[in-house]
Amino acid sequence: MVRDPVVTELRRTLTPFSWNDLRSRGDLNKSEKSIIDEGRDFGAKDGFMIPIITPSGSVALFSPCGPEPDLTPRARAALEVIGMYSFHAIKRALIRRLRAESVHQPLTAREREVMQWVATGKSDEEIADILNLSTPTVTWHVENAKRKLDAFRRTYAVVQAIRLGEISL
Amino acid sequence: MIRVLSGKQRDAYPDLFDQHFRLRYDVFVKGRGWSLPAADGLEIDQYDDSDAIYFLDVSEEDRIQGSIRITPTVKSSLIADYFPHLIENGQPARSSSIYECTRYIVQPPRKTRGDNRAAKSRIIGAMLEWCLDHRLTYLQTIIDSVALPTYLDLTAQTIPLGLPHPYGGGRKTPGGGDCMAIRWPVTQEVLDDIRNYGAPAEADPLLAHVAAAPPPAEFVH
Repeated sequence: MVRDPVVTELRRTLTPFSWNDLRSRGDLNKSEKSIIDEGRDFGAKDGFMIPIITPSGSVALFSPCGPEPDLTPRARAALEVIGMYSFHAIKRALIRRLRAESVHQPLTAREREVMQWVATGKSDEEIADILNLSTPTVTWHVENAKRKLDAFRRTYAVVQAIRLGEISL
Repeated sequence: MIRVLSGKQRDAYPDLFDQHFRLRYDVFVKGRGWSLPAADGLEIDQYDDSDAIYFLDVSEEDRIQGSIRITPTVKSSLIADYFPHLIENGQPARSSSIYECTRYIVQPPRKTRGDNRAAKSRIIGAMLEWCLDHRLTYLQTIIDSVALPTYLDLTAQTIPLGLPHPYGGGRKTPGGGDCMAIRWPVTQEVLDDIRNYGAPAEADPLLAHVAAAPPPAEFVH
């Protein structure tokens, strides 16, 4: 199996580096070199990998690339700042969207209970058996939940229910 | 509780200031390995004069668990005196309405994410509030550039004054890194941002989604 040398390097360090930095280190084998060179097929001869340590402790990545990118020290410093501001802007947009979405019609206790079982992969018949209800009643609860969660499919309803905190895994 | 003291009050509160200068020694000289003037285990520099304002987060047991210092920029400042290259356009600020913030320490007794955020919000909020009351326009400071996301989290109105530049030998040297100058407008909006930052996690749905991780190391100077 061939490993992307960029990914290998990202596991090793949190300091930004360019593809050319890796190439000029001289310790890449032939298949690793060809993986980086694959970028050329997409018009990218060199790229800059900027790990961003997020306040929650995870690592985000900003990776500009191009045919002849300016990667002088000043440009690298500027790109890093741009990456951090961009990451922050995207995070704020995601939070705004999450907040907007969490305003939904809440599920009843029964609907939540049924959806919790749907999340484990049980069929309506099985759920009816577990909860001592008729199968049509279970289906009815699932349909109501789908409507409230604005979901066309029950699998998507499960995803929405988890995201909105109605059920958990 | 946050105590606000000026450099003029050093003789009036000798124990508190002693504790403050010793804490600075522990955090910056011993902890970060910075070469600062440090006689007798006290870290005191030329900006600790009568014009300096200190914000001290003092616990019920009279332990200082957080502190920041702000100083006027009219005559001198860390940025103007030692780091002018961090200002990309124009000159380092020299203005009666712009203060510089330095020696930021936050050490709550319990290091949970919630307590950390609350402690940061408390002391930085107190500082912003004082600046707002005194009609300042901006607060400037130097940060480790890797910590920029943390400052953006406090308020989106974190304004970069220039590009990051290496200090202490740069990132490949232990104890070194990249630093940059930023500033915050002194406005009610920014103060509100900082107060919201300290609000409990349930108010932030994205935080609730993030797996519980230990708080990142504090980037302070």
